[in-house]
Amino acid sequence: MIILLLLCWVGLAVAGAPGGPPRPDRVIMPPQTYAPRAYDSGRLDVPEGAKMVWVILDRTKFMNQNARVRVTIEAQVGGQWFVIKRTGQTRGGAIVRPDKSPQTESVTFVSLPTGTDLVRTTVEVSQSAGTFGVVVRFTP
Amino acid sequence: MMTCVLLFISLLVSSIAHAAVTVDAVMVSGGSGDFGDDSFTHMVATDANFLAVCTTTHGGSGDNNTIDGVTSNGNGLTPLVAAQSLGSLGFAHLWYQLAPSVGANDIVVDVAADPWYVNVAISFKGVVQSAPTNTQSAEGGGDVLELTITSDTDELVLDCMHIATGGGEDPIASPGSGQAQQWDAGHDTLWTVGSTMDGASPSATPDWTFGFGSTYWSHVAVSLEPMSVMGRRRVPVIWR
Repeated sequence: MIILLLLCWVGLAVAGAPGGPPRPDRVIMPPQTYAPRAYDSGRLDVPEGAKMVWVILDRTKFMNQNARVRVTIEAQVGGQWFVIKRTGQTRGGAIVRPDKSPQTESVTFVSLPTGTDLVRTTVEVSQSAGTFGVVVRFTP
Repeated sequence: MMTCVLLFISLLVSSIAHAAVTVDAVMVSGGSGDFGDDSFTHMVATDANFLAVCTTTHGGSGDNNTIDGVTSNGNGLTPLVAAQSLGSLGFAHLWYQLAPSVGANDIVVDVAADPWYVNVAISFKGVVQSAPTNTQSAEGGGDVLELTITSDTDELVLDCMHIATGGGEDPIASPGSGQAQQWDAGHDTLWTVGSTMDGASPSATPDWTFGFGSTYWSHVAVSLEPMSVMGRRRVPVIWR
């Protein structure tokens, strides 16, 4: 079996803070550009006040049941990169939740260590997964 | 004569200072259960000597909300106290390890099946190097929270709560008086909050209020004893 390993760097521009005073928590800051495929690469500046980074896969377009996807999140602290989170593998295709509703997203998130300057997110795909979206977002 | 001896011993013992228990670092990690086990890095300072991990799960199918184990750099943590919400919808567990490795600790939470989870590693300084003895758990629903844990004035109480929110709403949980909120995170139907507070004699009561009604919750706590400056377990209260 030929396994294609795609290292997909998700580099999404981080815009300015949303208008108006944000709530002290829960506000997604700021809205991120939606990527139709996980293929990009980049280092993300950490918005001021951000304490957590999220990676969200849109499962509604993640059609290949044979595909396996793993997410790795790295942080740069004091000029050095290190892995702060590495997920297990999720598979493509539909997932039905215990309440019988479809699971539309696969979500993973982690705190940013104190002093994190940059974040790098990698999505590994075992084989062509079809089109699926990836969103990276920061929260306070 | 006996009174003098007791007084002397009391003065001697009271001269042994006790280091305060303080928080070193907190790391929060979470995700949907389809990703499988949760693996994240927690940095531990050189003078930290106690690692606690709070695991919270929700939304799995019944007993599939359970956690099979937690390791740090491959070494298993010891389960300390657990609470299970009504209907087995979610769990809150506390695990601990004495003298964790300094620097990067690779925390792996072995998720039994498919729950959504939020896991928190929190390291401490100045904790006596023996198994914690004062723990407590509570389960309930609605806004009525009550958890009273045996403690003492020089201890530090850590509490961790799993909250089920039904439709993914933020429960907007606020800690009670004297509690320092250490984390507040969640997604979908699972949220978790945690705090530390100074211990009190004979007990402490970590408490939370919700700005948005929760459905079910499970709450666990531990009171951490300080180590003396000499590194020994503190002496009984009667001698202080």
